[in-house]
Amino acid sequence: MTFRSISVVPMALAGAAVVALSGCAPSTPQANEDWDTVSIAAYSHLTARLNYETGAVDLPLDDVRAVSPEVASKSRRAIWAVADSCMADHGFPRVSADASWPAVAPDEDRLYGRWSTLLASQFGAVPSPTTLEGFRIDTVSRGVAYNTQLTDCWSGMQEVLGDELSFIESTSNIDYQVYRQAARATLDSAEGKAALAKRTACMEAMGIVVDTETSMPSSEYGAGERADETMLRVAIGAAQCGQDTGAMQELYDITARYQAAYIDQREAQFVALQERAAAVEARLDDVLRDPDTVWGARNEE
Amino acid sequence: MKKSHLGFALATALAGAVAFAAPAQASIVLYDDIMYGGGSRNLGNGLQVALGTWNDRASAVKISGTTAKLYEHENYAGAATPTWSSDKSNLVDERFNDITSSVY
Repeated sequence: MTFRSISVVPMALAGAAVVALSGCAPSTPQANEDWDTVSIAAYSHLTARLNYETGAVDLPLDDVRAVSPEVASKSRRAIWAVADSCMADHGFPRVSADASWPAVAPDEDRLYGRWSTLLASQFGAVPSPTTLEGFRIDTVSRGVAYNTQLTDCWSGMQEVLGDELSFIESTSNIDYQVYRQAARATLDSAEGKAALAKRTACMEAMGIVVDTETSMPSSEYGAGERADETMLRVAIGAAQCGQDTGAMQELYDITARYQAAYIDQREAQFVALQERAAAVEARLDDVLRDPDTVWGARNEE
Repeated sequence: MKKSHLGFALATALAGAVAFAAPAQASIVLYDDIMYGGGSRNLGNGLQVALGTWNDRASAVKISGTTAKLYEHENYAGAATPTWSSDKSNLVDERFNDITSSVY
């Protein structure tokens, strides 16, 4: 992998960390600005590194994202810490203290569908519960009184962490926009279409019905929440085809090149993004150090 | 309606009934229109591999006691939003209007 050779990504962005590819997007253009066509000819040496066990992929954006896996984990913990402070004020236990938080790691990337055969065989379509993406704190078992109060406390948490959440969860940040735009460009490219066609042919050879619009297994397989036998077979087949045909590697290689090109094109915006990200992370650290004080300060206002 | 969709509809109707029976629990609620207008669908704690009649329809979402990630395609594939823990009153602004097909 040679992302470091990109001219921009460098370094000005100190503190830039690796991040989860939480979002992504192909076919539907809903950008709020015009994106110039970029040439990826100068980036043909770039390749993406796919981890077929975890479903995570290393891409140029990882180095410049606003929300690294570490910050994503911090934000999730801070959210619950503040909500817990509120709940404790009302005499309820702090649930997040008992939770088994997943280790900090990049989330699985499903931009072009699930491609980890291992995860497909284990979970079908559902995210692994050992990742932050798949992690949930069960509150239902805490009863009606708890959950009734949690609704109010969640609203209070959204107020206390409003500035931070509006940044962390924003789709206006330049990194999110580049991620979507690079995916869109990949799917619109002749090489991207050829890669998808290879995967589609492979799936159809396995007897899997493929949706022509999305190049994913037909939505007819999407019924129900459980990984039943059919869902497992389809999920595994799709993942195998993505890997065996080389389609996934090719799609992510193209994506890496577009990301690098867009990052270079918008360097100043990424510098500004990192400055804001550093401030948000510092605030999250403050919250995690003493969530009760943060919550109490809100009550005094 | 094909058989699988019928099964889905029944399953989601049941899930919806359960969700509405306990409205105070952690929930993700999709809305037809921005600013939480129009029809709504309570997904409970999320985890919707497909949305059936709500496919490509949501324009706002309220999130309470949990997190939500919206995906462009079913089976949690394709474009996805960041992981959200706060309400989004206008998915047009989030570049995700009328394209949600699964939610985790």
